[in-house]
Amino acid sequence: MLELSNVDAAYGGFQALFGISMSVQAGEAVAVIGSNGAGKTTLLRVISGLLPATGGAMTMESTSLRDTAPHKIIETGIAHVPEGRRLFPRLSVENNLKMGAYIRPARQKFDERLAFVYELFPRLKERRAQLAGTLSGGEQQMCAIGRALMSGPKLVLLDEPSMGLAPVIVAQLFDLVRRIRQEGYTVLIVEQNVRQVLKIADRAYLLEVGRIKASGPSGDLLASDEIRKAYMGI
Amino acid sequence: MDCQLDIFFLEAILNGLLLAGLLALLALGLNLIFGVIDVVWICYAELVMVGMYGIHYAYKGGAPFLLAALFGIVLVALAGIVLHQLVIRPVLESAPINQLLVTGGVLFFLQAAATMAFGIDFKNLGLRPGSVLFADMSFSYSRIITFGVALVTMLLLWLFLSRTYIGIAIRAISQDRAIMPLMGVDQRRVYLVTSGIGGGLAGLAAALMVLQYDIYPQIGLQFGPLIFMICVLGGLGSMIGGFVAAFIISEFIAVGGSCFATEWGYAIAFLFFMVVIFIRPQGLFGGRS
Repeated sequence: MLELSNVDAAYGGFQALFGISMSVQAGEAVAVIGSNGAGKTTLLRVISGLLPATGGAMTMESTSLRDTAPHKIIETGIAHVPEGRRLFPRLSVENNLKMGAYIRPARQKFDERLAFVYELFPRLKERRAQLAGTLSGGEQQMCAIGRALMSGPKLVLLDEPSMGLAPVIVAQLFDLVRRIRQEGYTVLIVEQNVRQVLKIADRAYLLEVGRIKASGPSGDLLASDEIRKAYMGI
Repeated sequence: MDCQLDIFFLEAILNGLLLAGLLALLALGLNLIFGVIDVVWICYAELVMVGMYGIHYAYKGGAPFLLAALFGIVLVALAGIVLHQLVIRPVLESAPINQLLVTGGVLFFLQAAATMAFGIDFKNLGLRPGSVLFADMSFSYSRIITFGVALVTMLLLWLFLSRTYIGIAIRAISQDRAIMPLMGVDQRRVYLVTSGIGGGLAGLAAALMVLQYDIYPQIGLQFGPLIFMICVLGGLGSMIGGFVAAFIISEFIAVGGSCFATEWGYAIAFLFFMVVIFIRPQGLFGGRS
């Protein structure tokens, strides 16, 4: 579904990604793990067009992403839940969801998808008229994921969804990601919470200072001594 | 000094309310532009002046008033789009002072161009709708029409901003510019639509003002500072703040003007403005300073 080959990216003169090659197949849940500053967030920003790649090729179902304007990438079926959730704080929950359905094909299915998101997150329905900035951290994350689902994506990019959430809520959140998978969405998730994310992902890539250092089925990575030492403190 | 709680005082208060409708409409356009694009159109009142001349010549050329007014609205809406494309877009990422300087340049350019093209004499359409007497108080029809049209326009704009996709995007963009592409929103398109609406509102204000005021190239100087003060007082970018501030300032002008002299009304209004800005630099409803 998503195919990256030899992708480079840079912030100004500072190169952040070096020759990244990876793929995500339809129906998979793929994790990208690594420490702070390894380039995980940058990778998602490059895929969704927020940061232009400086080299390599990226395709989503045979559409070249590098030749697609940033605001058109969502129309290829990629929805990005950004780091820190980034809701519109002074818009209501429902208007945040409406922004998720901004693209033309999504507008026609707004009612249907809104009902689906409210069924997935009954809390959002209770709070639909409330300003998004007044929600709790967990509710904001639900709203951010709901907003991404409103565009009817095939692939959902999740950037550190557990960041800043209480441990109890984090567990609920990972259940939720599992649920989203069961609904048929393909998921590419970036996390520092390595142990938990490897439990829900089929495969994972390990990123270190902008390069892919290891990849493979989650079970193999979970069993690797190197990864256990470096990322799980065992 | 003549300031008792009599019928003249009440008349002044009500005339202040009527004036507030026009000022609120003018502030609305400027606030919309600033809230969305983060640039202050210092030349906003000069766009109104262009609209007034446009309506004047369309009317003198034989168009009925409503058609001339429509022409003025479309003319200034287009002027707003052209202003954005030619002047604002190149400085979108520049320091605010540079943005002020270029739009300030447009202000003087439009004034000078209008002086060259139309001369310095006062023009008017010869349309003065007259006044209505109510309980011994006198109110001009043009002010009442202006007030009504301004309120209806603000209501329509509010519906647009709260119900339509593009309207909600216009509000969202000022809250988080960087992630708009993730929603599939083309920022350039939103900016153009906003500039067109901001210009259209200036054109509508022009259509209302030709009923009350003579047209001359420097008329922008009479209103520009006042509109800017109202926007800052309410909190730049806050449309509700601009609305409330327009009423406060109009009452100072109208009541102060009635109690003392018109000039005193303006002086008191600006004094009040300065005091508020000392105490609350971000304005009455502003989130940012």
